[in-house]
Amino acid sequence: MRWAVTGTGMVTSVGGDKDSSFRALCNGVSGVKPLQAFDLTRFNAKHAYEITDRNADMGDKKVRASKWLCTAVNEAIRSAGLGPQTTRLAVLVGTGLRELRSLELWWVDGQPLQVEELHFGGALRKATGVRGPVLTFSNACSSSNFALGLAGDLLALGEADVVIVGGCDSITESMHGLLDRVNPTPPERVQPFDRDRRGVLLGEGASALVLESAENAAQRNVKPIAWLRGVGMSCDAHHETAPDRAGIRDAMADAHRCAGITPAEVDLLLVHGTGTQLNDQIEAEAILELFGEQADCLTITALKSMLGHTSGASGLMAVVTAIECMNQGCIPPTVGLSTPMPVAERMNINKSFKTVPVRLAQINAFGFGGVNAVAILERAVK
Amino acid sequence: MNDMVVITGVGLEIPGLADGMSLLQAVGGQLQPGPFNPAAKLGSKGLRYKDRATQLALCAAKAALTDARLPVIAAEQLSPATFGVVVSSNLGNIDTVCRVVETIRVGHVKDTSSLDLPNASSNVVASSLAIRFGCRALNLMLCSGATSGTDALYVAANAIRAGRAKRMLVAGVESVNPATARLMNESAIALEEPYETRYLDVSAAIMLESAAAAAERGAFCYAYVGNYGYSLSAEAENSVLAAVDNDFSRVLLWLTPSCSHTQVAALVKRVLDRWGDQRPDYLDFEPSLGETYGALGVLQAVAACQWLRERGGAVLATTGTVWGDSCASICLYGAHEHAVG
Repeated sequence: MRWAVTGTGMVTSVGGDKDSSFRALCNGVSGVKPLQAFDLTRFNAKHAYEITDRNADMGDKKVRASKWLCTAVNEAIRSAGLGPQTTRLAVLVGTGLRELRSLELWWVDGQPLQVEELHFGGALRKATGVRGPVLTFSNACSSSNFALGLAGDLLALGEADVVIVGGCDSITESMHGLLDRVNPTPPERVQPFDRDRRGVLLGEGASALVLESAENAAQRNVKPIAWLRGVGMSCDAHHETAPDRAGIRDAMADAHRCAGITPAEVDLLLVHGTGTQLNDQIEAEAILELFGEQADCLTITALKSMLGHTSGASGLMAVVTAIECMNQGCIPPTVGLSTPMPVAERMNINKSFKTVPVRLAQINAFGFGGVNAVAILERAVK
Repeated sequence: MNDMVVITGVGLEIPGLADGMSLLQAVGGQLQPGPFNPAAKLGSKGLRYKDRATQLALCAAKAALTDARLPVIAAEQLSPATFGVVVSSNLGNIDTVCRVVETIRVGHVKDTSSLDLPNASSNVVASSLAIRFGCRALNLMLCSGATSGTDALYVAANAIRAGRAKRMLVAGVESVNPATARLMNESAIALEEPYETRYLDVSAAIMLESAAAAAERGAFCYAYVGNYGYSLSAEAENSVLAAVDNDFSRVLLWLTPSCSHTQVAALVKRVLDRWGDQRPDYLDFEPSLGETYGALGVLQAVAACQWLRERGGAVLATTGTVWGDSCASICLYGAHEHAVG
């Protein structure tokens, strides 16, 4: 079974909408910059991939993730041509850090906060007019890929005719700090799969897409821009923060099973690639284990080299980017990759912008707690 | 039968609720918080750095697994690759987030502990259940506000119906600490109709299985999971009508959100008027347990199972309407009721 993607939207640290974000990614523009709103003296890591929508003199602002999510969802709704009369519609949101930045600003700065602002139902209904269920999944760094898979399930079960999937995250001081705490040397940028990678830095933004059956899209006279072929899921059940090769391999294998494909059919792999020593090593080992010799010809790229780790939003950002790659026939580079780590030496990691046809793309997303979700997308535009 | 989803185990961890006391027995009094000793139930290994919400959920989940006669040791788990987890909690880890940001603001990041890293991730409860009990299928954390517990049942049942899992452990948990109490109190004061209530440590868990998987191992079946209905708060009766499929006749009990809120009381009146002559009993846990927020939907499911075991029929459960703009309902049917229905 496959599902039609009929609209997408995205807000990132390198662009305010999908088109500008993708253009910037293809141009190798990085969103990394000195911390915008946190007190530099309190951290070792002084960089992140933030969206510059705050005036330093005015202090920090709450509900920024909600704002970007609404922008991305509205862009997806517009591009899908969804009208306000759409019924049997559900919204699934994946987010790692919810509105926990707003919680921090409430706790330490005294900004007002209502408990229902921690999730996204109210903000989305106000900004987009959607009336159906809005479910917020907080599944660490694979949240939005899980939401995408569950959206396909809702369609398969006939529980909805259209599902909007969103992903969003803003950087919290606590998570930036705790990641800073465990990085041996503070990184100034994220270098996925590089021998000299020093760890992860967070990013922020939102992405969204509209998913429906081919029949529903045809009834609305809307052409799919891509097909969702399947989302594989697994849980390592192994460790609260460390990844597990078997769990990652199982999620990728489950994705191929759901999509009805073999590893050899995948043209493009957008890796999770957080730039930490252990995560990248384990992800690469799992890829080699599952793809075998096919890993040599698979084109791989790592968006976190330009967007940072956008936590729960990262999976769907990569999905939206992969759809652009398929439709525009080009692949953004992995910026800052100089020498691949030994385990990835054989891999075809894209160091510079490349034009190449892509029919099937795989998007990896793995999160704390060993929660893994891998999506397979297929080109729909000939 | 293949897409039928059944409840085969229930568990509670509410410090202050006497061992063996059902939620239905607790209604009527005002439950006082009691001592919580997770080590006595789980053993002390691996608990030291778990936050309170995780400890509560681990206890409730272990009780549900035991009740369902499933293993509670990861290495012994039955078909772990098809065993998933969904947890509902809105406030579970906010104490960690508040404490860490406060530590950084008064000092430096070096003053934080790396041991806080897992607890700063909102899904720590769901992943901790998977690690302890050996659940390797999908693992989900729902943080959708007041309807979250009901949503969790729906999502878990869908995961089974969609073939992603044969078994799903569903837990709902909220814990009390200075950060959660302050946030809930400030939010309650800001409601259209200011509201005073209590907050307790609460966790509930249920074991969902495909009817086939339950039958295969001869499991006792408390209930079948019926329809889920969702609506905006202003149209809350639509969620109720969708859950019962416009047929109130089999529903003997309705578990409602807190009737202390005018809009919930009005909803209850509107729906009961619609029900006609054969009105069901209805119950609201807020007077006895306080505001249980993201845990309520799962608590209601446990209470529904306790009712269905004794009385049969069907139980309708509704969450939301307040603390946000949405309302969710789900209907659970007694095993005999659904089999003949």
